[in-house]
Amino acid sequence: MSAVILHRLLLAAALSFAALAALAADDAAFPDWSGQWVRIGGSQFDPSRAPGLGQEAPLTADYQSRFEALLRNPPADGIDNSPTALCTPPGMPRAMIAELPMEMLIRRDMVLVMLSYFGGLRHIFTDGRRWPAELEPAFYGTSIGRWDGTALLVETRGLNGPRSFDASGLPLHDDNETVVTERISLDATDPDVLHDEITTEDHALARPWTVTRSYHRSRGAAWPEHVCAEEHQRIAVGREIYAIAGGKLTPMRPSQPPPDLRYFGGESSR
Amino acid sequence: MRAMLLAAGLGLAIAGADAEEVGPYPAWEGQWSRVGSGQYDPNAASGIGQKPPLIPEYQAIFEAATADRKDGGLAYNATAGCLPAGMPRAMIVYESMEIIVTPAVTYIKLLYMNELRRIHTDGRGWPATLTPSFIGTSIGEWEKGPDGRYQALLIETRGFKGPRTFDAEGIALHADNQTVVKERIFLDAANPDRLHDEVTVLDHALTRPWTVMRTYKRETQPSYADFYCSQNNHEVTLGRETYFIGEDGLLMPTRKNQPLPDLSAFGGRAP
Repeated sequence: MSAVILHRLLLAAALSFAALAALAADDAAFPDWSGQWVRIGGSQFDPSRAPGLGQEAPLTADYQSRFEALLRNPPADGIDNSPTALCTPPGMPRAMIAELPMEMLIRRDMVLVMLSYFGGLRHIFTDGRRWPAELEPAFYGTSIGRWDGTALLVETRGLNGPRSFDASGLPLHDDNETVVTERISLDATDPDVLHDEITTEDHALARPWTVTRSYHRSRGAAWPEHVCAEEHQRIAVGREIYAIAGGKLTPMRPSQPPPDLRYFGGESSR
Repeated sequence: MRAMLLAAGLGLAIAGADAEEVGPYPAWEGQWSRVGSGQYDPNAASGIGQKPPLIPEYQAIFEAATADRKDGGLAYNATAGCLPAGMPRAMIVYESMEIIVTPAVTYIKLLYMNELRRIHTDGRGWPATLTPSFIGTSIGEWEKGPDGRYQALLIETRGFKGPRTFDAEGIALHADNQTVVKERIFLDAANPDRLHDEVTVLDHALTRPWTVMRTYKRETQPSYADFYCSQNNHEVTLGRETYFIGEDGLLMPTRKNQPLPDLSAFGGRAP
């Protein structure tokens, strides 16, 4: 055995033991959140209450009126009342409804929440960083977390819009100054159940609104590929929303007018 | 000495069960962005300059798409309607990609169209059936270097749906979606902040396997911006035609003499 090979082997041993020490520390510190997490309960924001007005969201009077008007006069038949109907991502806090399964990857300096629905990805930074002076608006916002034992405490700011709490169109404020705080932890008695206590502060709300969502763990199941453009063949043209079916624009409500084609001059229809 | 060597081997084996940049895994974690331009083969000119080894039927499609581009058209570019790029186009990395290496899975999260590749390295075999997807199902195997550390990830990807094209220029993959993509991803020998992906595509639209080399640079100041096609997209594909939606929200043609959209579903109603 040459001296060079011996040196490499000893170096490898030293590196490996250093890595193992770090690994042991991590394993001791972090809970096991591996696997596929599947939503428990319905798709309304608060799964313990009925959807729509049954959510009894603590909306301000202005936003309560707006929500009731939306329910009376939805934008189109057969679709949800929210921005996701036109493939705008759900954003926070709605993303944590987890319409489709999610995966959580714990790293030393961040927790990644990989949401199958809309391919969303949340980076929750746990490296001790502070809030920067400015945040680039994003649908999932910017999230800073810290570990409290085996629970992850998260605050999310810097949100983009439009967003709603759920598919009913239950609104968040247009100013996008939402702040979402979460406490994510395994169930005390069932390690295959994860809870997320979500508190939303928003100018559309008269007070902070706290709901708890839960997820059950699945292992080995296939991961869905969610492609909104494939699922929702819809397009907004002016103030109207149309469906695309068989390669053609089609109406989404009786007597809906066709789109204005003024820019096509004298071309003939196909 | 034997004890030391045993310890070295044991240490590597156990560390290999970890999830981060420990043990034998290369330091790939973090954000990477494309080096070179957005055509499929970055070492060849765009459009016809790509010289893809297409069978005549797909060469004709490519040439028709190239002619359409000259008129401002967007034929054979499914991402114009916000469908995902899918493989192998996703590895052009139009925006950025984030790599996370764990023993069982290497994740490649692509910001463009929010696609996620899970490359399974847990030794699994191919299942009898695959659920078709744009990004496909990927199984990988680590290749060891002379020092015993993993130096390259060898990947095979199958199980596709379409439509998919190699890039935005209309080089279509075969409609049978029987594509097989083989990759070798590895760090540059001289620059650890450069990552290479040697991508070989086998597809019935090709007369032979087509191999290109893509390169990425490590982002030392990663950005975690959103990318959502619906927020940026002003194109709508109706049948074989792609139209534009202007700032005023109205439909516009994308090329001269483009036919009107088919409005027969409206029963002759006036706008």
